[in-house]
Amino acid sequence: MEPDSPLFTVGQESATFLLSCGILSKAWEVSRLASNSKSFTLNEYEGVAYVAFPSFHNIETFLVKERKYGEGNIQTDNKVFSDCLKGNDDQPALVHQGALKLFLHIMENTDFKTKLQMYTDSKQRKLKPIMFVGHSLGGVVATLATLWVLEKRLRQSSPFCITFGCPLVGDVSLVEAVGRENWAGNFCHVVSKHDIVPRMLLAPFESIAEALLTIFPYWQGKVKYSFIQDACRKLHKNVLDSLSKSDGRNPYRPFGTYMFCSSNGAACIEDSETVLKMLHSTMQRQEASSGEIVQDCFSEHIGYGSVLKHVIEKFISGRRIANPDSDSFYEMGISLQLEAIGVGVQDNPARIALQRAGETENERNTNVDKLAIKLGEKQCRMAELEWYKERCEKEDGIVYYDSFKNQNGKKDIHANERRLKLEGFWDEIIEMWEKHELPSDFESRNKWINAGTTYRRLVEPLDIAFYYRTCKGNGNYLSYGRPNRHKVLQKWMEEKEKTRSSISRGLRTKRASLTLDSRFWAYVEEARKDLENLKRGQHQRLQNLEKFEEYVTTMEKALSISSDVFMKGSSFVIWWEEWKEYKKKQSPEWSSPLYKIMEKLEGLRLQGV
Amino acid sequence: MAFVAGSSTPESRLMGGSETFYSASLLSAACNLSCSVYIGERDDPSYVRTDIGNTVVFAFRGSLDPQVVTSATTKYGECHIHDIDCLEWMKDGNNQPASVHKGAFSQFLDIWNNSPLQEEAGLDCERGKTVVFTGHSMGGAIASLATLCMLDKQLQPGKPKSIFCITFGFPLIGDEVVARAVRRKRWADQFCHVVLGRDAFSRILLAPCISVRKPLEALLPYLKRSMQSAGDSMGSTDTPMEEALPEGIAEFVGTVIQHCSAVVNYSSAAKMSPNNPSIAVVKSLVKLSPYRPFGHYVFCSRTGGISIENHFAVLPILYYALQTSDVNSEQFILEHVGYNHILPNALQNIVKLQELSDLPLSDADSRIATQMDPLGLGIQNCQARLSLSAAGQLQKQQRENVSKLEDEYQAKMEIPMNILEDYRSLCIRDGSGYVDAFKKKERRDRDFQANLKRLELAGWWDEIILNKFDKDELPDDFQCSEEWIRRGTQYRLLVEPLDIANYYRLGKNEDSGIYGRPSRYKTLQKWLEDNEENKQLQPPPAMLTQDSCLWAYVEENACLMDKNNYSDEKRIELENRVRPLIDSHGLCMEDFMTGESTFKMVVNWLWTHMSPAQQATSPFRSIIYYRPPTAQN
Repeated sequence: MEPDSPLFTVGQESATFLLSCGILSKAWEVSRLASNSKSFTLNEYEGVAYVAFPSFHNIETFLVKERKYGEGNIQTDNKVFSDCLKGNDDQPALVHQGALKLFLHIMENTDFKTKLQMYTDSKQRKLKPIMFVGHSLGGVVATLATLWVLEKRLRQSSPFCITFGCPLVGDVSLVEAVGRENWAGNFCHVVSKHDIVPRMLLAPFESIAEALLTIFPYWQGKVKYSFIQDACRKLHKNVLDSLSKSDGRNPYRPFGTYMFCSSNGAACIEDSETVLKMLHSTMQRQEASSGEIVQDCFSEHIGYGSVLKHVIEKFISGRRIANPDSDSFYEMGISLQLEAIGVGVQDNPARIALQRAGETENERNTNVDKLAIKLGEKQCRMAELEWYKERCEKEDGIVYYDSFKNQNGKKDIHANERRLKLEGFWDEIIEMWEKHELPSDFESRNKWINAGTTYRRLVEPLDIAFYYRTCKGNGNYLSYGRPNRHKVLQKWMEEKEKTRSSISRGLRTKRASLTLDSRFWAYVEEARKDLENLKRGQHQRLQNLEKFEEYVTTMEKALSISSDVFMKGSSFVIWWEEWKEYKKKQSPEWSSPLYKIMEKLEGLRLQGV
Repeated sequence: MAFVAGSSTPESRLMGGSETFYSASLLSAACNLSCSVYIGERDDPSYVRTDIGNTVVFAFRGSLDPQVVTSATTKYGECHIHDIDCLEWMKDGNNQPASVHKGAFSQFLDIWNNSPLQEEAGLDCERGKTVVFTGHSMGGAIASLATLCMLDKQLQPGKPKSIFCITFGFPLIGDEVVARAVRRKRWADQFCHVVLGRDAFSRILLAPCISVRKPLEALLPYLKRSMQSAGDSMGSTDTPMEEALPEGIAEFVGTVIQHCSAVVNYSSAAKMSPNNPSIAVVKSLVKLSPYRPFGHYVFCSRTGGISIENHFAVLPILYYALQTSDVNSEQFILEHVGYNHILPNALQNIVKLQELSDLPLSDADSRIATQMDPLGLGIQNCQARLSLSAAGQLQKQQRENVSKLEDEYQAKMEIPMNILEDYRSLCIRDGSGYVDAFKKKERRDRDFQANLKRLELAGWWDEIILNKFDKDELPDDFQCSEEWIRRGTQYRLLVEPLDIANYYRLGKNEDSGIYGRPSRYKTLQKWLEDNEENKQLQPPPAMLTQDSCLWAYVEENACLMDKNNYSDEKRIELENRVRPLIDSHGLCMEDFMTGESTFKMVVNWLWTHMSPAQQATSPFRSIIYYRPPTAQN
């Protein structure tokens, strides 16, 4: 099937908007003024707080000698960053250790946190928006500072980050974390066509560190280019060499919006892989031998002021060079973007990458729209199962879990049909998610987490019932039978819970209408098996059973077990009666917290409440 | 100079909706009148009334004082509309009033309140004349505001709209709320804005006041003198004045283009899908100009022009036609005072851009090419062409969505609605109101089926309201379509009580308090209310209770009744909902008084707690003494 292309591209419009609204020029101005600062500057301008970090301060800290590429865990001993910054495989994010040290230095040795408080304190009635900006090494600090504010969820309106000529900072896990949280829109990295710094970490850090030390004084305006020419050549060559090899072991990946500028214009790209490709493409097309180009690679790093000025003049005049020939608006837009960032329309790999990125994003959006419509239809299946639950309780006086397990009536068969339809729907979602066919922040969208949680709590008991009905006591649902969808959906919910502020999660005052732990009935089944075995003399089971009792007690105290569980004759109540009998036989005075709770519930039932 | 509406030749017809109206000769005449009001010494806001056949033209003069144009307390010189009844209905979804340019607004108010304009124009309307408000520059801004007011005052359902507005080099002065209001009312046809491609002044309000204040202090007096003396050079072709232009024009034009670009590129990028996530974040950090175009536009070069009705396309054209390549920057200033020289010729060659989504990227139609090129919108300007195609696509999409919804409604929604109507009659036949039946603890299959239909309908309306309407994927006037208002109201009145019943049945009020109304109902109710004001729709006979929220107030009191916890406050709340219903016969007694109705019990219970004085004035009286009509044989 042909991929569904978007109708238009948005890369050039985005870039022109960012340039013409004046925010980039202001950010550049502010970061220039911060260049002599030793830590950071904070100024307000038109109601926005600009925090800027110096470009070349504390260089030695940046030049670390850890690992080949200088990368390391973002989580440090003092827990500045939490463990939500991890990849989809739960691996903690890696960042350049020099960058991390620069940021930690400012966090720990300056009044950064104190000064920031008035912009992040949720007690302030109207919080001013905050922007972190930085050029070069200041950019990496700005990036980490933004991540820190986002990740601490200090404020309602999120911060924005603008960098100029900023080296790459983090690895693919960080890209995934940013995608999951939908933070990519909070970063804008401006990259000039020849500037080597955004690409330099693609080479092994050990191969460039020494040359960098020599080159920094040139960028600081302390020495002339002719003095550092050799170091530049060497660094340039090392970067080009590793680009052409691209051994795949380099950990760094870009995240956020990248604005590529050239003498032809500017365009924005967000897709991480495509940005990486563009960082390559714009660099590789240069003839390495030409001394002038090498010089550009280093002089452009400190020339962002004129780069911005040039692209703004460019769109004011409206002069254009090429006139792409295509009958598709989308392809034409792609051509204009390639032209604008100076890659050239002839660069086929770049064109294909850019085109694919737009198509993939478009497909993901289309998919989620389609799923949303299907979800609406599935609400009716859910309502039918809710009604099934209700009818089991009201008409037959039996908990729906047991009724479904027994499969005695027509309505149980109907319920099974509904269960299978919902299973198909959620399996499809999980499969699409695993194949990256859904937007990267899908799993943290409240709508889907809530829908998934309700589904899991209502329907997983039926999956458990089905399992124990068919496997006749031989298997353990929790170890072998639990479908992937329930595991994934539970994980999504748990991850989201972590990010919600503890204040909003008050204690329950009312009993849950569906048992919060959807695995509950599986624990009951296992406990019943354990009890049988215990009676047969397997004393090692006692511990499991006591643990189960404790689990039920904790759940019940938090009011997180729904009332149907305690219905007369339910699997749980049967277990309880047997367990009580067993315990009483051991010692007639036996009592426990759960014993008291169950006695109280029984008392209430007898009173007819 | 005389002309008769409808007598123009096909070639000179410019616009679609009122194509017989905006003829080249009318536009030329209006232009002459608009420019000639500036001739002379005075520059205070005023107008001149001229009869042309059955048409009356009011030409306005506005002040070009720098103080009026750029001095303001807000970044773009905007203010909320205030102190004028006939514009105050323009509100956004959150009931915030519309904003307009303060300088233009205060000049307009001055004329509106202190001149015989209202009486004169009103009289002309009553005599069956066609009224045209026109103006150049700030005069155009005043004319637009006057038109909006007169349309609101004079418009009666069924009567043809005979008030029109023609402006020349008019700066944008109304915000998004004004623009949407105009489209919602289907008034776009009443406005025709003629703008020369490189007239920088028609775009200056897209730039912050402070960024253009300085250059304007020199430029505006120049323009004023130029307009005032235009009579001397009438008929001459190029420079209207010998006087040399002030310095710094190139920078000034650059500033205007840059800010124009911010607004245009933001609106284009934000409407595209997929789009860049940074755009929305940055938008919240910078304040862009609030002004947006409304009405139809004619963009002219020296040799011809294009006319355009697609409102998505106007902003991009304002921007792309202004880009400076190969143009002497003086032209950007001189064009503003050159309308009466340039237009008579240009208006002879206007091409209408019909369907932009088909706008070819390589020009097949040479007539279009001839007019697009001089405006800087030729095929060599690929970016501009893409932008126009996107505008066309947006409009096409909106149209297609409407017809898709139309089909879907008939295919999917009519049946569940019928089932719920049947459910309601069956319940009444069986001796209970449908809300009571729906809410009771023991549900039958019928109640459950009704619940399924309720869910189906909720999903469908949410899709329309939340996913299409709120995201601008439907035309602005969708909410004024009588058919959809009727459908929405029918749905809301029939089904919302079930939502409320469901809410209280599940005891959600104990977790989250009083019934929180889903936004689909709020929006649907707003559609009805916004429209009723103008149409004075006959209230439909009370087949259904006209207040779909009433049940929530009943339930709140019922909860108190269960705990025998009487509250005056809650009772008064309920009374305040019931009173207007009783007065307007909008309470459906069948639903509320059949069988063991909660409503009946609540009212009876409240009644016993009320003092005789309270009872005497309570709307409950007519419920307490209500006797169902006996079946007639």
